[in-house]
Amino acid sequence: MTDRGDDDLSDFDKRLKAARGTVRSPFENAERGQRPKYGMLGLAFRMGLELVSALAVGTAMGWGLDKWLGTSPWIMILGVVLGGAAGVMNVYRFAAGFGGAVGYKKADRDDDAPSA
Amino acid sequence: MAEQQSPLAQFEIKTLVPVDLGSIDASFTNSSAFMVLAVVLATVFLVGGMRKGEMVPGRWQSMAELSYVFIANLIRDTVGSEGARYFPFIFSLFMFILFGNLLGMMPYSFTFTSHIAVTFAMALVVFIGVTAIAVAKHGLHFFSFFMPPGVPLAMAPLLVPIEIISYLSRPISLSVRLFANMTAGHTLLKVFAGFVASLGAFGVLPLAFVTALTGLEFVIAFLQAYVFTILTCLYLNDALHLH
Repeated sequence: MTDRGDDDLSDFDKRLKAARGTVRSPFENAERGQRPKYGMLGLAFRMGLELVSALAVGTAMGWGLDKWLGTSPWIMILGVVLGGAAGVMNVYRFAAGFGGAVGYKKADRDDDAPSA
Repeated sequence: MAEQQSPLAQFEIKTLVPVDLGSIDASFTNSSAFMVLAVVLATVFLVGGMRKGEMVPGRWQSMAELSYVFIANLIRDTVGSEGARYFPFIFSLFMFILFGNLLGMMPYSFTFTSHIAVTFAMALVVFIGVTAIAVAKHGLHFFSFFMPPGVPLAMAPLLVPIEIISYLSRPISLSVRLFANMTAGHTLLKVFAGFVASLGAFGVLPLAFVTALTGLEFVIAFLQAYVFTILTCLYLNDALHLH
């Protein structure tokens, strides 16, 4: 590396141009790369969180509607049930590889799911 | 223990410069100071790294370029080429969280990502932004999002509320994940560090554990910034492509 001949440098521009031609911008639609995978603990933690957060949202919405409409506690009870169902649905989708998506959108790849 | 300090004392908000806007306490706190520091350091890291812009990058420029390419690839993989225009936002988000998490690993520093107020605000911005993008792009068609295709109409009264709850739970799980990971990790470190002093000669065991845990915390600092970013990308993907 210390003593480069003139031959190496004379066609440097040409080689550089050739090399640049092969480089693609990261935003070009190239093949989709692999995503790193995580341990089971992170996976389990995320599933638990999906379950609980939907339940919390359902309960909170029910509670809020009850306060507004004065129907305490019936909408909240319904909210707990629906929230629990939404939580199970979140976990099911996450585990089945639908990503974090609402709606049944198919994952692009099989390894889409376990990104904690 | 020499100092009987709570493991949670590290999360205490301290007012540095009191600012009072009527009923709102907008003081400049240690949390704000570390946020400013994170922004400044991230800017220095990127601008300083690219200052020369050499063809053959040095170490610093390499790191700056790597972080750029990392997020660019992430967006391309999850959102596709339409995601390119959201790159500035997602990249800023990633660098901000990453620097916040890493700054928190310094002794005596403050981890602003360990506060639900901070993470929830970020998650809410993402959630509202993504929903606005979806509505702007698809108009009323966006609401078909809550009714999966191929479902009998009779199921709608049950399914639509479930889908809406599921959608609304996104910012909660997004923010709680980052906040819980950072808070739990830092509390655990502090608890075990307390054991080192109180156990005397046997303190070697928790010391070894704390050493390993510190390494793990660095991994988590990266990982949680990455997870927050990738979920933002997935939500953006849903918003742009619906079904």
